[in-house]
Amino acid sequence: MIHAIRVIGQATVLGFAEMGRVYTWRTWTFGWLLRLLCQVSFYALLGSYLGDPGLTRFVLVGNIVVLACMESTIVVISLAGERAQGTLPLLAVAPAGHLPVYLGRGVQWMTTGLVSSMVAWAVLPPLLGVPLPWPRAAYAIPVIVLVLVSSYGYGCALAGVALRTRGVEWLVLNFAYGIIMAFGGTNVPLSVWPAPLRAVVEYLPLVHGLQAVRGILDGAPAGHVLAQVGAEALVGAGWYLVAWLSMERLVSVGRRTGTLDHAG
Amino acid sequence: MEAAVAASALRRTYERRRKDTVVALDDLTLTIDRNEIHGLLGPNGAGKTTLVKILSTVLLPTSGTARVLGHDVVAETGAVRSLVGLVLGGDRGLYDRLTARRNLLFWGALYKLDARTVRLRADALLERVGLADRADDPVERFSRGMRQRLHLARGLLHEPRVLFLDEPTSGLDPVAATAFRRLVLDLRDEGRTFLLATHDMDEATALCDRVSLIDRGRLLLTDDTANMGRILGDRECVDFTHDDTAPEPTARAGSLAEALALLPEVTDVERLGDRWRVHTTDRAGSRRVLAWLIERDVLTARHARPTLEEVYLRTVGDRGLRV
Repeated sequence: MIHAIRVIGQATVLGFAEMGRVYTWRTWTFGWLLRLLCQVSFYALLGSYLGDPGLTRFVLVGNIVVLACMESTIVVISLAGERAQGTLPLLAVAPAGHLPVYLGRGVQWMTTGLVSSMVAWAVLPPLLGVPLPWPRAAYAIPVIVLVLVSSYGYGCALAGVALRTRGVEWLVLNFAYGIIMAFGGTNVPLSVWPAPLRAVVEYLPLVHGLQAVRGILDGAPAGHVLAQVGAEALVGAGWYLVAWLSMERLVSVGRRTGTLDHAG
Repeated sequence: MEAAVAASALRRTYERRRKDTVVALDDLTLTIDRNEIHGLLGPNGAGKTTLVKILSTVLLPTSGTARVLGHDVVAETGAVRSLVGLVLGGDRGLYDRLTARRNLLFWGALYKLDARTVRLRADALLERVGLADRADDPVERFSRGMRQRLHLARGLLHEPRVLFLDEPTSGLDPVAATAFRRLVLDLRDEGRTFLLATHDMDEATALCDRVSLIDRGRLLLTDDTANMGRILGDRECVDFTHDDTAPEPTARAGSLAEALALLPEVTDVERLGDRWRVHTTDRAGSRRVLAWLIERDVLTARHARPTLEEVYLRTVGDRGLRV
C-alpha cells in the first residue's frame, strides 16, 4: 500500500510537470479560467434572457459543477501520452504495477477543476444577480469535490479505450464529456429525457452529485441529499472498477498480441 | 548453477490484419551464462527485440519456454521483473518534462524502493553515468547520448542481476558510445549479466564474451566472439593495402592481386573495401605471401582472421534493406 501511495505521489509530480508544458499560471488564469467563466456566464445569461431567475440559477449551478467533471476527465489525454512516450511497456512490467500511476497522473486536472469551479462558485452568482444561499452553499463544496473524484474514475476508464486505438484520445474525451454536458442535467432537467435515456444517464458521473448540490441549495431533506451523494460515490467507484479492469486487460492483451508499445 | 537466461524452443508469431502469420521467433534455443555479456546480432526484423521483450516479460511467447535465473518468464513474472532491467534504445521511455533525478525517483517508486534508498541510488547512478551535473535539468534538454545513459541508470535502479539492452548505442557519437561500453564492462565486472541486442559489429566485438546471430527468428549460430572467425573455416588470410596511384601499372594493387592469385599457396584474393584479402593454404603460406607483399612495397600487410562483421555478412547473407 505504501508503495502504491509513493507511486501516486511521483505520478502527481509528473502530472504537474507536464501541465507546465501546456500552461503557465498566467496563461491558465487569464486564458483557460477566463474562458471557463465566460462559458458558464454565457449559458447562465441565456436563462436571464428568458427572464426566469430560477432557470438562470439552474443553468448557472449546472455549468459551474460540470467544470469539475470536465477538467477531471482530461486525464484521458495524460494517460494516452504514456503510449506515445513509450513508457507503457515499462510501466506494465514494473514491480509496483501500472495501476497506481494512473491514479496520480491526472491529479493536476482535478486540482485545476477544483480551483476553476470554486472561483466560479464564489464569483459568478453574485456577478450575474443570482446569489447563492450562503452558508448553505458551502455544504455543496465537498459534493463538488466528490464529482471531481468520480469524474476522474470515468476519465481513467475512458483512457483504457483511448489507449487501445491510436490518436482517438481527443475524440474520446470530447464525446464522453459531451454526453454528460448534454444529458447529465446541466442545462436541461433530467425529467425532460425519455425514461430509457434517463436510466442510462444514472450511470454517468456528475448526475447524482449535481442533484445533491441542487438539493443543498434548495434546502431539500438531508436524506435526499445523502442518497444522491451515495449514488454519486457508487457510480464513481463503478467507473474506477471499469478503469481497473480496462487497464489490466489492455496490458494482458498487449502482452499477448505485442501491441503494448505501439506508439500512439 | 542455473544459467542467467535459458530459452528453449521459443516461438513467437504475430497475426497480421490480413490474417497471415508472421514468425518473429522460430524455435529459438539459447543459453546465457551468468556474468556474461552476450551479443544478439541480426538485421532489422530478425527477432532481437522480440526476444528481449519476451525475456523481460513485456511480451508472451506463442510457445516454448524461457527462464531468467531459473524463473519462468510466463509463470513467475513477478520474480523475473525484480531480477531484470530493461534498457531500450532511442528517445522513448523517459518523461521529458521531468528532470533526470525526478525520472529516477519516479521509476524507483515503481520498483518498490523506499524513498531514502531511491534518493541515494539515484545520486550514485547519476554520478556513475556522468549526469550528476545535469541531474536537475529536464530530460527534454538532453542529447541522445545523455538520454541513453539515463535509460541505463533507470535500468540499474533496482540493481537487477540481468540486463537486457536493446540497441543501447544507436545514434550515439563515438565518444559517448565508448563511454557507454566502458560502463557496461564495469557493470559486468560487478557480476551482472547482459544480453545486448545490436547490429553494431564493433560494439559486439568490443563488449561481448559470446555472440548469437539470428535471422528471421532463427538462431543461426552462437560462439565465443573471439572464435567467430572459425565459423568461416579455420582459414588463413593476409590483408594488405596498396597505393593504387603507383606510376607503373604492374605495381598497382589490381595487378598485384592477379599475380598473387597465381602463387601456389594462395587460394583466393578478394577486395574488402579499401583493402585486399589473400586467402592462403596454411600458416607457412601466409608467411610467404607476407614476404612477397613486403618486397613489393605495399602500404600495409598483416596476418588476419575473418572478422565478426564478415561472419555476419556471410551468415546472414546479402539482405540489404530487406526485412
